[in-house]
Amino acid sequence: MIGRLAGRLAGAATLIVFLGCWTFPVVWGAVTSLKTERDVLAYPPIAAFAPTLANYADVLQGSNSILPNLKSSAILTVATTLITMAFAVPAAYALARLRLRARRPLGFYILATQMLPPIGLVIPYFLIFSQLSLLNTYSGLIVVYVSFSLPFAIWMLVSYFEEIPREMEEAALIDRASRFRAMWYIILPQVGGGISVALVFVFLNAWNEFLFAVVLGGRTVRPVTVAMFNFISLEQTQWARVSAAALIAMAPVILLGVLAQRHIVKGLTFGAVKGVSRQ
Amino acid sequence: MTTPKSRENRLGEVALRGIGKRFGGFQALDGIDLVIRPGEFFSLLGPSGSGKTTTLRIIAGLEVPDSGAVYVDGRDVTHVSPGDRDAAMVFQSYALYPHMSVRGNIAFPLRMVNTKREEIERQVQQAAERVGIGHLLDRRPGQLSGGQQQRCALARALVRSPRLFLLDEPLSNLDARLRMQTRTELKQLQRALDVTAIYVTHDQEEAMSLSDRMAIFMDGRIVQTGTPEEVFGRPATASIAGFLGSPPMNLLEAKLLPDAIEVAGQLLPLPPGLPAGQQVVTLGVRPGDIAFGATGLPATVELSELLGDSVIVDLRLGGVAVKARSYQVRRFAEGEAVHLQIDPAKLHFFSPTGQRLDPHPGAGHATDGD
Repeated sequence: MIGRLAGRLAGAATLIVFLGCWTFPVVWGAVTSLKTERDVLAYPPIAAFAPTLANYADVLQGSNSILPNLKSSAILTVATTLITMAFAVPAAYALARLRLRARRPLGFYILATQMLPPIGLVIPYFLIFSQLSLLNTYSGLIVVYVSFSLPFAIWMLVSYFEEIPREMEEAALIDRASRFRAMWYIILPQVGGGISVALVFVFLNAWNEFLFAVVLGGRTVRPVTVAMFNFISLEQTQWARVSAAALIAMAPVILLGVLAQRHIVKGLTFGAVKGVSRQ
Repeated sequence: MTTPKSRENRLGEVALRGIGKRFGGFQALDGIDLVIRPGEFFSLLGPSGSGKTTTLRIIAGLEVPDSGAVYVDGRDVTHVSPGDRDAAMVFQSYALYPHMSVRGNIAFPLRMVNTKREEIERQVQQAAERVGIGHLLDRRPGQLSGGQQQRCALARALVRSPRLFLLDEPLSNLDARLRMQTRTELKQLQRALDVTAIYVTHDQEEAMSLSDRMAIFMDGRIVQTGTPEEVFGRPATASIAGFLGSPPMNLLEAKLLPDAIEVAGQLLPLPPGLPAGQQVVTLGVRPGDIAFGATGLPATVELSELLGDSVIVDLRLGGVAVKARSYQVRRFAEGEAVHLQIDPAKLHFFSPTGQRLDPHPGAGHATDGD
């Protein structure tokens, strides 16, 4: 009895510690974003301050507004996500289903691209892009993002496709569906959860990307991650404004996570096939 | 021809010609020739790995044979896609679409050919009621019992009135009682729909009770084709004899003497008409064809299993193990001395290579290739 209670307490404590580690920076940022620059730098730090939304107003409407940057981020992220998913879904389906001779090496190759440290690729990309006039363009950055997210999304989706019994699709083929319709009506709805997960991750990675954007995007394509520098200069760092901008930048990602959570958790395939039968 | 309602012009004839199929180094099918007649309930029976499911999948179009051709009503469909063969299939796993309701599942084959909405609704209702799940149309497959799932799969197959009804061990996931009941219903359904049914099973009892005709598969070949009576009554090889029946036929090594058969040190009268010159043969006798009497071959009881309406008795006959089935329900004591009587007309003989030797002159071929 006591042992069980102690175990549960220990578990709860561990969870609280982890949760604290993850949420502390966000909470700190949120608090900072509501302070004036003077309160941020006050020493000793003050707990009771007059909260203000001035930082948000300034970040959105001031001379260094991040609105254009949010737009850049949105263009990059949405384009990357759409292009990636448009190719990843059929590719993952093919890898999971078709009896390709090259299946295994191809699977490894796809994963291997994930092992390269991105920073090692920045200079080559810069040189190639300058030759191709892709520097400081949306299409250039989208190419880079897709090249990173596509293998990742394929690799993630393959396991979802593999979980769908082959018979499910054979049944659809016998029921007079074409291969495409079998995928559209039978397979895709069942991997909906997997597609949501992959989509969130691709979106997240593209939205959060900094390194390539700062090097290859130049002055013209500045997503919101790079725009944080609007508030950091040689003379001073405007911590409250940086925090407000960061929170605004986080919002779409958090919103997406909350929206997709239901789909991510939902398991659809139970009960269809023997062995897995009723709950 | 065992189908009573056979007509000249009805549809649903399947012919396989010289089908071969390899999976890697494994020869799954080797020269399958088979004709299934329209309206027939035809079983593909055999142990696992014998090629029966592969054969069904080739008929369905889910596998393409390496050699040979598949004909449906005279048309070569070897490379025709599964959806264009007018064949419906019930899978062993049922393969119901989990994200669709029962209604959606049954409607799917109709939706795929752009049937009108009202027509779909009418036919779905009809098919569901036919298999007794008309009240479950709004459930998801996950909310159905195993038996209901199986019926849903059946309804999805029959809703399109296919030319061929392909069934891959559809009863194997049901419990024993439900299986018996569904078996009867399946047969009634097939008769009512007057459709060709091709049924894969490893359960000989199912095959015997359902089939008009059946093919026995072993190691990727068809070893015998015929009605259940023919296959059970005159197995073409010793291995078929040893596969069919519960318990299967006793197979004993025997020696043919000029006027008698010597088996396990005992002499049995020789039935007339056995081919001469076969010195050593395999003698087969069904457990049910062994009677217990006051005189006859002396044997000792080793074990008896009471089945209710009969008793399976394990016997030792001069050093060889023999199983007998007695319909006089009584306990046999272990070690009890009994006498066995065997009607020579009910003996089966197989050559050392396992081929059937026919003691009855003038009898036709056991293997009905067509």
